[in-house]
Amino acid sequence: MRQHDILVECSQLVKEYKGTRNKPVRAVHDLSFSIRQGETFGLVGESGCGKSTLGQLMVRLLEPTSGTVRYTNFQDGRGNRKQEKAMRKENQIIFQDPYSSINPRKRIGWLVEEPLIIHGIGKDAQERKAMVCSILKEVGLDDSYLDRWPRELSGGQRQRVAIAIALILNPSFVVCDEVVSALDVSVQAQVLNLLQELQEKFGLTYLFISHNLQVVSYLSDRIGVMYLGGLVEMGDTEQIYHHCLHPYTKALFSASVDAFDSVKEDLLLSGDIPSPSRSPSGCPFHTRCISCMKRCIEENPSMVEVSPGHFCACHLIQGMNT
Amino acid sequence: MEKERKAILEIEHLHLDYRIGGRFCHAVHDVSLTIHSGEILALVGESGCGKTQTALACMGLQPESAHIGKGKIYFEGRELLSQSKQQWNTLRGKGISMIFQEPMTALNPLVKVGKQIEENGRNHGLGKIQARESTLSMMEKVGLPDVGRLYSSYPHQLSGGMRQRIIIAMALINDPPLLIADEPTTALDVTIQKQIMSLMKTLNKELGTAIMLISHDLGVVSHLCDYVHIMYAGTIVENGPVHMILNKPLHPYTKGLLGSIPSYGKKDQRLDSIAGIVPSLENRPQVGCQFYNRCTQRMASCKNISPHATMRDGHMVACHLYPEEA
Repeated sequence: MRQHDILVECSQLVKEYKGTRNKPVRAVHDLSFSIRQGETFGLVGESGCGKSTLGQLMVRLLEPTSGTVRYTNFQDGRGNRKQEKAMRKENQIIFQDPYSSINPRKRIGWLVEEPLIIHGIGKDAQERKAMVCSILKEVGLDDSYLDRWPRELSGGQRQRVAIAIALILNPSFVVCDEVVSALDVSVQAQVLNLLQELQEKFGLTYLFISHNLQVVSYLSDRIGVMYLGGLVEMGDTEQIYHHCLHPYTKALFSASVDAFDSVKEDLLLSGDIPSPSRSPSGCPFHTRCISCMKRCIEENPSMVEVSPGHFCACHLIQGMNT
Repeated sequence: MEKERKAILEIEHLHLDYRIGGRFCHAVHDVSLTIHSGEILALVGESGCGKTQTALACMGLQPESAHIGKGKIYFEGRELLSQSKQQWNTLRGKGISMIFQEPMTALNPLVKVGKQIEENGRNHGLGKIQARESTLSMMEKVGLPDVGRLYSSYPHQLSGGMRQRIIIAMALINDPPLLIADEPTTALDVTIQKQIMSLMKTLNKELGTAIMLISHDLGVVSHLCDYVHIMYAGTIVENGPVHMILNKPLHPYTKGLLGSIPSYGKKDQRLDSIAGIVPSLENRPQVGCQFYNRCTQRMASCKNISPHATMRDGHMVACHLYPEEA
């Protein structure tokens, strides 16, 4: 089922914001990775580590300061409006909060139809309406929702509408930015099931951003762990879940509480994530790391392939190999 | 052992209603629970299940529009609901303290955090110097570094985890026998959540404070609590020791909640979610089981007859699947 053709590739992606007194704030720092066709790539990390910025860079909602995002099966369309519009059709994003991502002054039918009008799809209103109805049915809502207002819907239903809006253009790549965080656990399970069904049906590729490790390890084929704007570890879900190497990943998995799995190493991280405007020297994680060495303070470790497909950026690992 | 444990808080058949469109709708319906000293008890359920309303009633903080029809709440043997305003004021913060979900909004942004902690001590009779001393020692107890400097910092200078620690310090300065924690870790990152959880566990052991934890996260509950009450649509559907509930859930709602939790072990399987959502107050059935519309194992009798609580395998469950043993 899994294919290995690369769909989206980032190389040396950097996004800097201007902070106070024009000091640059590095939201995403020198990040390279690729997403394969048909897979779910999970991105985890604490808040403020640049997950959402990366997600928005990948659908070109933000322009990178340097570095590139390259799509393999469609034009990136930089500088060419027509191609850019075609690119937008292939890339979609679903946001975290369904209460603020949907226009409250428009009816559901209008909201879902709008992308079709923008891209000139469908001959007339009737054909468009048929398309809207069919996508609403796919996400588990019936025709009666066409004339409803967003305020009449529950959180889970709104998130279904947001998914319908993203999928009506039949995209190939969808960024799910914390799509289930605002939902109750039973509704969360409904939406996760839905996302998996839709992926199988339409052959979608997901970048699934979440801080919830259970959700990510349940859904993803591969996982990337982010810390302060950079990836610290990346690999297959199995590799990350069972054989994670980076101290941060270990601490993250130890901190995520699983109702069924009580025997776990107790690793407690002290302190908070440093502000990206004052990122520490050397390894960004050294201020909280339990196995910090002198080398970590001076030198930033680079990503090393530990075993096929499993990358980790930590001096401990490099010390082991050499 | 069992005999030594003293009941701190007893809620008996609490009913809390809101008047919507001319009739009373139950937000909390016939809830009874007991917390013993030194115990950590959890109330678990989805949003809108009445967890917070129950907790607010214990603090006398329920909204003006709420109507407590029936029921009694005893705190250390004293009936709470018939108290005067003044009696409530002496109780809150000294007898029962509460911490809220959002550490960002629970603090006054214009007052130094040390002063805010101190205020609670001063209100309950501590002298100026004494209050400052116990503030500083409490701040150390909740694991804050460099307390002298933090004492005179403002909330915006602190991170979410530190603010939550400040709030915990504020709640515990008078050494109350009971702490109500309403989703204390929901707004925090996992690593910070873990810090706060282990802090609460240590404080529970060291100070002997009983904790009533309100949460929707069964993961947090399993690591922190001794006893769990599962709430659905204003009623308690199942309760028991935490390992019992997690390993041998009986009520279909509890099973659904547990089945909904994604994990690595369930990869490539569909999650057993519960269809639909919690009905809003005005749409709840007047008779019969509240869970009827979402239940996969519903029977004819569920629609018209409210299930009674029965004991099964050491825990209480209210469901027609488990009839009272004759």
